[in-house]
Formats: sequence, structure tokens, C-alpha cells
Amino acid sequence: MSIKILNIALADDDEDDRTLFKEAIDEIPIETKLSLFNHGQELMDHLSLPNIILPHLVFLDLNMPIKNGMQCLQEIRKNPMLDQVAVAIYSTSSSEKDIESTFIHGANVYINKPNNFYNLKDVIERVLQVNWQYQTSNLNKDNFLFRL
Amino acid sequence: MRINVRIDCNLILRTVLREQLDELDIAYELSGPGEVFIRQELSDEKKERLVLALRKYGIEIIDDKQLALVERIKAAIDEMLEHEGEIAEKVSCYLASKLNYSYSYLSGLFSENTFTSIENFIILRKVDLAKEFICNTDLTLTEIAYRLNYSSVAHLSAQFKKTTGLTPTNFQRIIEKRKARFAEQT
Amino acid sequence: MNFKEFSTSTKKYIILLIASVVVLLIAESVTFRQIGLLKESANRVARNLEVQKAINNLYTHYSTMQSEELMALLLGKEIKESSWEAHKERTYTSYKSLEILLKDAPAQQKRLREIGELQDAYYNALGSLQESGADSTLLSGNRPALIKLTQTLAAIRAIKDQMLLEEHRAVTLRKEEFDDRADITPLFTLLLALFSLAVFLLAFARIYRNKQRIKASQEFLESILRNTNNIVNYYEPVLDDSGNVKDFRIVFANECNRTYLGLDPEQIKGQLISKVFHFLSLNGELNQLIRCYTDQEVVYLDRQLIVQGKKMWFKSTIVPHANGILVTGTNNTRAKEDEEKLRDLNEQLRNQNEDLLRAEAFLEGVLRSTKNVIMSFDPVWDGMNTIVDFKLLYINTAIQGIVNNEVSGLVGKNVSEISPLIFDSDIFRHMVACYKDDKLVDFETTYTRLGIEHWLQGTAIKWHQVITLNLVDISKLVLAEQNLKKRNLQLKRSNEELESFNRVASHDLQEPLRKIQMFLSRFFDMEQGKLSKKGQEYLAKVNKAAERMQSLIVNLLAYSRIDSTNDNFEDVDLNHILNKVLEELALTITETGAKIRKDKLPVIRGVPFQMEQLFLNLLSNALKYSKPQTQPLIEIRVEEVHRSHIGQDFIKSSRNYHRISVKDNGIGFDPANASKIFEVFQRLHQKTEYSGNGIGLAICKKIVENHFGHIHAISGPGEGSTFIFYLPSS
Repeated sequence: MSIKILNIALADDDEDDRTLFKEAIDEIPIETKLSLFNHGQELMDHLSLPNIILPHLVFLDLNMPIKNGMQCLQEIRKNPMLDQVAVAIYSTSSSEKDIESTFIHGANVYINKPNNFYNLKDVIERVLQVNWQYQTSNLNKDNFLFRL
Repeated sequence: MRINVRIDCNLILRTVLREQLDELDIAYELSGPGEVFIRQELSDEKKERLVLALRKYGIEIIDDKQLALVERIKAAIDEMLEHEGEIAEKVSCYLASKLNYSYSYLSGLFSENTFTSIENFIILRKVDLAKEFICNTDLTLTEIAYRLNYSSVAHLSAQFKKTTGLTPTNFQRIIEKRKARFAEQT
Repeated sequence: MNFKEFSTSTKKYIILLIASVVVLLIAESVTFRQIGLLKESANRVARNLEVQKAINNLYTHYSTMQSEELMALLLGKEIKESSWEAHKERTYTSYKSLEILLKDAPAQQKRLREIGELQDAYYNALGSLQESGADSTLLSGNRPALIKLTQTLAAIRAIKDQMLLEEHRAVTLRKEEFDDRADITPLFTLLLALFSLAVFLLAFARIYRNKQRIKASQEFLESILRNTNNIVNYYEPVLDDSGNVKDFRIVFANECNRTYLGLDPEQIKGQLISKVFHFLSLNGELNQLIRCYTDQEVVYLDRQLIVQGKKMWFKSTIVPHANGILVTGTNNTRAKEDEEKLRDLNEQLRNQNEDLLRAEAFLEGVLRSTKNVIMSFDPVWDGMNTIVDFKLLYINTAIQGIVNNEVSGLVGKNVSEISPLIFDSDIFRHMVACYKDDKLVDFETTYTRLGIEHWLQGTAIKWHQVITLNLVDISKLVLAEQNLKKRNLQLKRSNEELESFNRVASHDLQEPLRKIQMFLSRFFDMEQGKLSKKGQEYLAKVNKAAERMQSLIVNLLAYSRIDSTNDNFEDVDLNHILNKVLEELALTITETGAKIRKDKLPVIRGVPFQMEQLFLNLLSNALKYSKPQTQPLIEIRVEEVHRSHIGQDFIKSSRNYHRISVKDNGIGFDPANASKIFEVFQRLHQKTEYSGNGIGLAICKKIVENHFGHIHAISGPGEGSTFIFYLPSS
């Protein structure tokens, strides 16, 4: 997929976080198309729609009601159709064990939610960049693990 | 039963291209990495068939000349890394001579189209190779560092961590646990 | 085979033999004499005849002389003197021999003398005749001489005839005598011969019979020797130059030599025993054999020999016999072995006895000392194969705790009488089950006494048709367990509360904080231009405060997250941990150009993650507090020390400890603060100088103490720092 536009999805129950995320994305030079979801179930419903253009990268907050990030992650990874979708866990600080657990369950990226905007932008940009490289080159997506 | 495979992308590309072009009865010539010289004029219909056939294998025909060059740079980088031990000259010289463009032009073009510099990309690629080594072989970190032309394991670890945020050991452990989990589920 | 008879008959035989010899000798001598007499008679007769012949001879001489003379006269010849001499000589010889012959006959001798005298006269006559002869005529002159001659001769003839007659008479006598004797003598001889023959035959018969006897005994002997289980050998002595016995030669060896010693009897015959029987050189056996022979004393030997690699016991009797020694050897090996086995068995029995006694003592000790009630029963059956009761066979003294009866009074009684506690309860059921199924039954049951509930734990076991019950009062234990469960539940609850606090803190506390910071930064971005300098300042301060608070929460979380339970200890290779940490810090190490020297670290029991945290904190501190413009040099050393050599004051439950030190050449600190630095939130520097919030070392301390160790630090300002911690060595 050598398209310039990166399709991104974010599932986070916090409205502020969603807003901030969008603002950050908008200021990043990479061309993107962002879809926002309020919680995990919404995201999963959307992903299971037929004929949708799959996002290249999905950001998941861990602590969400109804369906949290971990559950979404597992569901996504169980679905072979969503093999090509990279998953970034986006959460406030967790223990090492939890972080490792997300990787083990198939997450590609783990991001600690930064506490200022610049960092947020920076982090997102780096993730997008790396992801973009993986999408456009013959780097092995299975080994795509990135931690910030 | 689990088998590990390594991919020689260039070879696969060439093989598939040959097969498909032969099947469609198109006269061709494979020139440099990622480049095919079609000897004849293709009708729209044939072109579409070719595009579809190749797309099945994940091969996209790059219309854009710039993108094509970027691809060639990437392929050249791959080749360079393959023989890195034997290449004495600097990256810039190597690429410039291989692709017949000035390095500054190549570098500018690359950054514009990929949002990252050639140097960064090389690092990324090297780390990616390291990942492959870690996952698919029994080589020690020392051996991998040597293979990828790092001056020491510490350097490899440093760059690895900088690039991925994880130490090579952590990475290995995670991959192994992933595999174990996958094996459990199936 | 009567040997006694044999030997006495030999005596008889000898007597007989002597008698026969005597008789034979007598007979022989008699016969001999007879023959002598016969010979004498014969001689006599012969002599007589000879005498007669001699007489005749003599007369013939005279006669011849007369004839010759007459003839000479007649013829008128002269007879020479020499011939007369010759005749006289001849006559003289005959006369002499006749004299000798008639030595024993005086009468005849007398006559012979007469003849002798006449002979003189005869010669005279002859002589005178001769003289007158020469010129004579026969008839006239000579007639007186001639008549004299003739007369003399006639006288001689008359004597001769007398003599002959005498002789003839003697001969006849002798002949008679001879005839008599000739009759007797052959008879004697024949008798003698017959007698000799008889003796000879008898002797022969005797000899033959003896020979048969000997043969029989020999065969008997040989049979014995062959079939005996003993070695029977006969040796004759071999003398040295001074005539002392130095060795023996084997004259006879029976088959058993082959059987026991592997020697071929035929081969060893004739050989020296010192060469054949090597064991004789041991223990002076050869000397004993020699002594047996020289002193003619019986020698007994009872010893162990090694023959062809095997150990055997031989009991030998050595007896002097004839001209040598007879050796009889019995292979005693079996007997000796059996003897030894018996001895061993006895020993075993003795030991077993001792063991039994000890076991009994032990058992009695156990039964008396235990607080468990131990009882043994026999089941009591009804007619239909059901157990209805149990009869007490034995009960130990501990029963006095539960049932207030004397022990002795209970034995023999049934359970139903002694203890309704047992009879009416589960215990009875369990006992029946145990007996019927022949398997061990463990059970627990409760009973109430004086309103208090007690717990009993019991084991029923069937052993050799007897059922034994072992009861323990576990009331205390049960209560303690119940208490423990309660406490555990409490702890669990409080743990859960803590966990949810953690969760809350980690997410819910940080969330708002993050928002504050985030929106502050947004606010700053958007309204920066509109703010006064002071305003910006204040905003910055707010932000900083928020940052600090977050950092605090993060570190508090880290601190609290250190799990203090140590039942999830595992074997941790500290080298592995250290390498991971070095990897983690690889970037900083490269950037600062730090040099790390490390010893080979041990494997300890602990939590891997906590160890990682410990080393991470210590090393990142070492890197962080490095001297500016100096290459950081970090040394990690380890040694094992005995607890008595550790000066630090803490509970040293392990005998040995690993003393690990992390030394750097950084800025160091004032030793007065050595203990303060490990306290939570204590920082020795301004907030601006060094990042961090003072909790890293507190975390280290908590981790080390969690591992039953201790940590302290040594330093001086500008002299670098050494952090030393002790971990138990398993």
C-alpha cells in the first residue's frame, strides 16, 4: 500500500484525549485520515463492517468501559482480516508486566500518554513515521514493536 | 510443526515478475532493483491485467517516477546491507554511484517522500534485520552485532533500544512469549 | 576277612614250619646215616675184595717167583738180579698195601706177619736155589732147597687160604649186613621224600591260600582307597647326606589327590612331596612330617590350604607305618564352611535378638511418651459375618486424658462398654471399613465434652488381623487453623484494597494530573502572547508543580509495587540481570563513555524483576552522579562472607552472605548523610541540579530488605560512592 495517506483510528473514552489527539494529528505533516471512537465496542463494530477501508494503525486506550483496550487488542489479533492493521496501545503508565503483556498479545506499539502537547505531537509523529516505513517498505511487520 | 523462513525480496520479486510477464506473453527485460523494462507498448487492457496480476502478489506498479526512485534507493540500501562487510566506501558514495544520481538529490528526494532521512531509514532497516536475526536464528547478540557491522554489542543494544524502545533481550523475550501464546491457542 | 585269625594262623604256620623243618632234619639225618652205613658196608665189601685181590696178588708174586725160578732151573738160565729185585719190590709194595688194608683186622695182620716171616724164608730158599742152581742138576743138589721152597710156598699158600677164608667170611658178613641195610635205606629215603613232598604241598597250599587272602585284602584295601573321600598317601623318607630325613618320596597316592588337589596319582608317584605339595612349606608342615617319622609319633594337622586358587580345609592324620608315613587327609572345607555359617547365623540371631529388644524398648518408649491414644482391637463378630464390636487388646497410657479410667481395667472389654464416644461415632464405622477393606483409614471427627467441641484426628490400620487405632486431639490445631484462615481473609481483603488503591493511584490520580499539564501546555501555546511575563512565570510554576506531583505519584507507585511477599522467590542469575540492565542503560553508557568493570555474580534466590530494579537504580545513579568531564568508572564486585564478618546490624538468618558492591568515581556525598539517602523522598541536591526524586535508593533498600539482606553506602564528597548490599547465600 504505497498510498501517502495513513488511515488512523483512535478508541478512547476520554473526550479531552480524543480532542487533543486530533489536534496533534492535524499538526503533523504526514497526511492522515483519522477516525475517532468512544470505546472499544464502537471500534470493533466499525472494523467488522464489510468493505470498509481498514485503518493502517489503530490507537487503543487501555481503560475503557464496555470493552477495554486489551479485549479489543485480542479480538483484532484473532481476526485474520485485520492482520495488516498495526495496533498501538496508548495509555497512562502501567507496570512493566502489563506493558509486556500488551506486546505479547499482539500490540505493535506502546505509548505512555504524554503530559504535554509537544510530547504528544512528537510521539504520535514518531509512531506514524515508523509505521509508515513499515507500510511502505519490505520491513517485517510481525516484528514491528515500538515503545515510547 | 513450525518452520522459520527468510525472504530474499529481490529474488521473489524477480521470479514473480518473470512468471507473470511470461504468462501474459509480454516481452521484457529486468534491469536494476525494482525495475522492469517492457519492450513493447502495452494496451490498456493488458496493462490492467498485468496490474491486477501483480497486485495479487502485493506488487504495485509505481507510476510516479519519484516514488520509483525511492523504491530503488530502498532496494539499493537492502543490497548494501547484504554485503555491508565488503563495502569499503561510504553510504553516500555507494548509493550515488549505484543509482547514478548525486547523493544530495537522492537524500532530498527520499526525505520528501518518506518523511525520514536515508540515514534513519538505514538504521531502521538494520534494526529490522537484527530483529529478524533474533527471531529466526540462534545467533547470539555478539554474532548479530558482528554481522550487521556494529562495533560492539553495546552499540547494537543502544541503537536497538533507541529505535524500538526495547532492549534486544526484551524484544526476544516478547517474541518468544508471543509465539508460545500463539502455539497454545492453535 | 578276619584279620585276627589271619595273624594268629600265621603264628601257627610258623610253628608248624619249624616243626616240619625239625622233623625233616631228623629224618634227613637218619637217612643220611643210613646211607653212610650203606656206603660203609659197600666200602667194606670193596675193601674185602681188594684185600682178597691183594692177598692173591701177593701169593701170585710168590708163585711167580717160584715158577720163574723153576723155569730158570729147568732151563738152566740165570735170573737176573734186577728182576729179582723188581719182583721183591713188587712184592714188598703189595705186602705194604696189604698191611695198610688189613690195618683194622688184627687176626689178618697176624697172619700177614706170618706170611712175612715165611716170605723171608721163601726168599732164602729162593736165594739158595739160585746159588746152587748154576751148576746143578736139578734133581740132586737142589732138592732140599726146592723142597723148602715148595714147602714155604705151601705154607704161604695155606696162610693165604686162611686169610682168604677169613676174608670171605668177612665179606659174607658184610654182604649180609649190606643187604639188610640196602633194604632199609631206600625206604627211609622214600619216606623222607614223601614227607618233604607233604610239607612242601602243605606249605604251597598255605602260601596259595595266603596269597588269595592277601589278594582279597588288597582288593578290599584298594577299594577303600579308591572309594574313600579322603586323601590317603604313603611316603617314604628321603635322606640327605648326613642321614637325616629331609624329604619324602610319594610311594602311593589315591584318587582323591586328583579330586581335591588336581594331582594325577600316577604322575606324582615317585616324586618328592616338597615339590608336589607346595603347601608343605607353609607352617613347617614338612618338618612335622619328618618329626612323625623320626619320632614315630602320630601328627594331627587341621588347617586351611590354598590349592589352585581355592581355599580348602584339610584335617590330616599322619601315622608312621612300616618304613614311611601314612597320610590321611579329610577335606573339611564343607564342614568348616558350615561351621562358619552356623557361627554367622548365631551371630545374626544374637543381633536380631538385640534388635528386637531394642525395638521393644523403643516401642514401649514411644507408646508411653506419646500423647496420642493408641489402641489395638480384635473384632467381635456376630453370627453373620458382621463386625458388631471390638475387643480391646492394648491401650497406652495417654488414654487417661480422654477417658478417666485405669488402663488395666479396660483391656479385654469391648468398645461398647468402654467408650460410647468411639462406639457411637464415625470412628466405629471407619474401624470396620479399615478391617474389612484391609486398608489404612485416615479420618477426622469431632466430639463435644462439657459443652466444648473437640477435634480428633485418627488413623486406623489393620496389621496381622489386629486393628490399631491412633487418635490425636487436634482441637488446638484446628482452632489455630481457623484463626489463620480468618487472618488470611483479612489480609486478602486488605491486599485487595491496596491493589485497588494502586489501580486508582496509577490511573485515576494521574489522569487529572496529566490533563492539568496537558491543558496548561495548550493554554500556554495558545495564549502565550496574551500573557504578561509574570503570568507566564506563574503558569510555568504551576506546570512544574504538576510535574513534580506526577513524578511523585509514579515513584510512589513504583515503591509500593515492590511486592513484599517472598514466596515467589526463584533462582536468579545476577549476571543475567546485570547484563539486561547494562543493555537498558546502553545508550547512556555510550553517551557518557562509561567503563564498567564487573565480577562474575552469583545465583541467588529472589524476584528477578526486583533485582533488575535494584541494579538499574544503583547503576543509573552511578551514571547520573558522575563527575563532569570525567569518564565514569563503575566497578561491580562480589565476595562471599560469613555472617560473623558482617559489621552491619541486621538479622542475619543465613550463615553466609554475598557482599556485592557498586562503586563509582562520581561526585560522592557527605558520609553524614549515609543513612538519610535511603529514606523515601530524601534528596541531597537541589531539585534543579540532578533529576530524580529521591525514591530510587529507597526502592533499593526495600528490595534488598525484601530479600533478607541489607544495604549501606560509603562515600566522601568528590570521592565517588560505593553502595554495598548483602544478599543471603543459599
